[in-house]
Amino acid sequence: MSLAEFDDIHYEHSTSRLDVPSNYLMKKARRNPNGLDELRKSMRSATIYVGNLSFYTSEEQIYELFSKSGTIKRIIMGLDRFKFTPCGFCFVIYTTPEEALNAVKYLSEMKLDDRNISLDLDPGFEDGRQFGRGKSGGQVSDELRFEFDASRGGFTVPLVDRIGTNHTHNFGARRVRDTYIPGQDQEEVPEDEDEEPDNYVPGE
Amino acid sequence: MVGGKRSRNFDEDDGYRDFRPRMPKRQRIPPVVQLCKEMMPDIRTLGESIKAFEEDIKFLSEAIANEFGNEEYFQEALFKTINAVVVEQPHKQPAIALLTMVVNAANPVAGKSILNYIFDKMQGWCTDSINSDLEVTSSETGPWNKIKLLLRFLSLLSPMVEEDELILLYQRLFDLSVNLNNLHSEKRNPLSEAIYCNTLLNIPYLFYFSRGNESLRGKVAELISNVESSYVVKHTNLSLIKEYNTNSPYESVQWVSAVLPNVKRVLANDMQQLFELFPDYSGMMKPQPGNQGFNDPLNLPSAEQLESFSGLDRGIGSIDGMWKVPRYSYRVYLPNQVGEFETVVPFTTYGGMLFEDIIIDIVESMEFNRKEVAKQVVTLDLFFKPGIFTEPGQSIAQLIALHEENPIITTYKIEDLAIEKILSMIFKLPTVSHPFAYFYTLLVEICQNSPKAIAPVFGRAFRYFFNSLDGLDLELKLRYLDWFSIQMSNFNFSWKWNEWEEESIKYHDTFYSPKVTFMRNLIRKELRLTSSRADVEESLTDEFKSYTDSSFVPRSDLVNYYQSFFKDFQVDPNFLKDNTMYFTQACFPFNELVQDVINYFHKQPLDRNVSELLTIFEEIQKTYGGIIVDFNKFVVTILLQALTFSGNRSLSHANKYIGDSQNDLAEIFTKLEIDQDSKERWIVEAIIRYWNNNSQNGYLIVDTCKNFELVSAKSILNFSFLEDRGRNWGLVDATSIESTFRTLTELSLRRDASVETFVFLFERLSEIASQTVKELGTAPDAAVIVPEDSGDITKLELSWKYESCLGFIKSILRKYADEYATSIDQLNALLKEKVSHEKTKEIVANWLSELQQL
Repeated sequence: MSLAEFDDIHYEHSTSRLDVPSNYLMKKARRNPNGLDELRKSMRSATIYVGNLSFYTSEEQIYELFSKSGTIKRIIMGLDRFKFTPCGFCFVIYTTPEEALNAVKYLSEMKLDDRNISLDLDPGFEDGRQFGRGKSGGQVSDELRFEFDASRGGFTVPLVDRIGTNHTHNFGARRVRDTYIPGQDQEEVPEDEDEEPDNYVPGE
Repeated sequence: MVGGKRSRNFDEDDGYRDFRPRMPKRQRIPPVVQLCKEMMPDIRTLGESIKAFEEDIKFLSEAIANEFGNEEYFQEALFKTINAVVVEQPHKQPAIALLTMVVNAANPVAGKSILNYIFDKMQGWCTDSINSDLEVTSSETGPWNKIKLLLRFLSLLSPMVEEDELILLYQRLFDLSVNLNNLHSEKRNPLSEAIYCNTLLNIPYLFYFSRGNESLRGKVAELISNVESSYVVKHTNLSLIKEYNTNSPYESVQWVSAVLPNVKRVLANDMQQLFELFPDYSGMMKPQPGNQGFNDPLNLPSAEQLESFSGLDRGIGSIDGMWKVPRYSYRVYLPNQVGEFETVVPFTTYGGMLFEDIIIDIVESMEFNRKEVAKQVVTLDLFFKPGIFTEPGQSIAQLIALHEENPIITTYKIEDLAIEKILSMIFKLPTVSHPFAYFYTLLVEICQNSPKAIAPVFGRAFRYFFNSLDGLDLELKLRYLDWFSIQMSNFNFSWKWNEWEEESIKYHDTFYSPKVTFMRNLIRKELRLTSSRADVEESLTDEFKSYTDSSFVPRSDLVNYYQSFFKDFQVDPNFLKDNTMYFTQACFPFNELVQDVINYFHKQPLDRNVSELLTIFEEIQKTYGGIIVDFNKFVVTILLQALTFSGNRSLSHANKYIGDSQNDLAEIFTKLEIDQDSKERWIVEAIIRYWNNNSQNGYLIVDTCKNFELVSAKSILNFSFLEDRGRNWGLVDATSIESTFRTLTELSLRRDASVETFVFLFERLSEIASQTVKELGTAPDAAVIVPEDSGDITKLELSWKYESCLGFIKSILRKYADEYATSIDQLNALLKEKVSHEKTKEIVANWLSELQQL
């Protein structure tokens, strides 16, 4: 669907603005009948979404960095919905919408715990959104990731499901449709798993 | 019909190769939109590639000349784009002007339309300058700054415009600035200074494309001599906005005094200096008829209409707002630090002033895209004559060698220039134009783009500030600390700590040494920015390993604190551990009862009754009352520490526990019959002592208590500036200082706030200063001077303490000038009453007298 002012081509500035909805948000809005409203809300909600955090980053660290662009009202850590441990994202709610836009402009891709954090506008926090939506309880993005990432729980997709070690043919698809659910497919694990060499090399 | 091709079902026809595009059909955009989408970005980036410049001008001008007049959409897009580049990226103005004039030669209608569009924009800003309802966005630099940039663009178009019309614009702006200046003969008029400087700075641009125009030269000479004779430069000296309290490393130059000499010099000697600055584009220029004019005369508001706006304190633009107080140039990269040469084009030349002006314009007007700003400011040299700057990325060592070999070779570094100007915005007093995050991350961005060239430039700035810490303004010390820590956390905390070892070895044990305090605060801040302590620890040399102990008060003080609750019971220091509550340790006589208090707070608010708590405390009093010195204090402390302990997982947890128990606490506190002040002091102390290893958390939780009205702003300040055996944490510890500013700022944002708390802090600091100067025994009419290389540590400590205290007074007066200005008489009276040292009185009284001018 068309997203009104968000689809317009602007000539008012000599370069693009950083405080606009990300491509992810735009795509999502296009599929959603209320997408335009959501986008408009996200410009006024004073809330931002922070992603790509290390699981070890604390609320206090987030406070230390994000308070530099405005007065923080509340920080909501994203949690694994089974384990209640941080799973790499959070919401920061500022006192005014301008402060939230400032954060998106000024702090996106800054490093926190040696990771480039990603920031996005957000239509506003609702209870329940603090939990990961992945099948394993964490974030979906981690379940689509094949690389080892020590600060985000190592390998989320277990050895058997990783490309290169998989016995089922997936023709090299990067996306596996059946993501791993802990405890569900234990019995399917081949017995010789331990001997199976890990021939997956990150980046190759 | 034969077969019905159209109705064939592709999906079910297995053998059929499906060539349908997978993407949904794209909406076709109209050709003119497509054209604009492709052409406008080329205009925005015009001049970024020197190689392609000539071709770009040729193709773009042909396209514009041909397309102009066909579609409204195209014109609108073109106008807006040109205006955007003119006001956001002023360094590209000459390129855009050249393009406009080449278009004008081929299509005079198009040329005239562009000219008048810009003129209309200027008219619009003139009208807006007296619009009291003007709402601005964060990237707005202000009407007068826009007028400056639009006038500059019009000046560049001098070959195509009637000369007299241009000169008339200058004439009228100068007249306005003179009239504003003469509204009050003594008082400085900020707007008048802004217009005067802005307009003068534009004059040389008249000659950019009209180098040999003798008649223009004559008219400009007359213009300048007129303004020189009629404009009285007023010298203002505001000590409140000085970056250095003492020992300024350089003499700062005021814009308003430097601009005219700079412009006169650049135009002298047949404009030789000017042609060394501006590149020569005459090869690409097309002959101009020179007869274009403006559709209407400029309607400029009168001085009287502007008077109420002329303080430039209404927040209608970042750069206009900078003129509110006298504008100075700010320096970081001084000569002599590295060699006997300048690496930044001096502010006392036209070029130096112009570069500063342009960089500030770019940084302020494109704050919505720091990546673009980062790119533009370090490639500024491409838009000026080659040879002004050294090769990008040249190291100081290389420069020194080159300079020795050939002393007349240029030593100006574009990186130094850009970063110095950005730092000048970070270190701007009394206020900063944007949240600090912008400038800090802009610098990080610049460094990430070319770490090898930029990291050493930052390194030199870090060293410069470190060496001048003794005299640096308190607020600026905090900004330096913030910037340094953010930079470090983005670059693996690597810093050559060994450079600062000597200072640490000398003054490690002092409490007030500005440098040791800085290093201590820096390392603690770094630790707060990472979850991997090891990263910070590994970056430190052995001398600094002890700084990673982030205790707010030393352990012995902590033991004394807990001991102070008891008689006939000895606190075992071994059981004082981080992140645990001492009173629940197994060695503690009634730890189970304290544990019950914690358990109570863990229950859901609806499942508990405050009588349970009261029963526990009655039990404690009955059985153990004998060993407790002050039972009320003990109850308050237990309650707050139990809540803090329960919420120690994160700030949100603490927030929740305190919020849930707000009513319970209120009920118990009313039963205790204690005076409000003591109670609030105990609350703050209980929390800060619990979080002794992370006072930032402590202070943030105290903030939570303030939000739930358990403590007042005044009690927080009172606690922070308590004096204990000469030590006053509120003057040196960054978490405490930040808390003080946070508290006051929050108060100042409340419209109806009384100024009682502000006055209280002023009084408290005056007391501390007075007491310190007494202990120092300084003569009444002598200023306190920090002895250099003195062996007398006590004296050193006292003079440092005195300076931090005075620096604090200066900062709060400046930062909260609006609040303090309402009670000047009261402050003067307090000063008289609390301070006996004449010199101190004189200094502070002078600040008070300056408050009205901020």
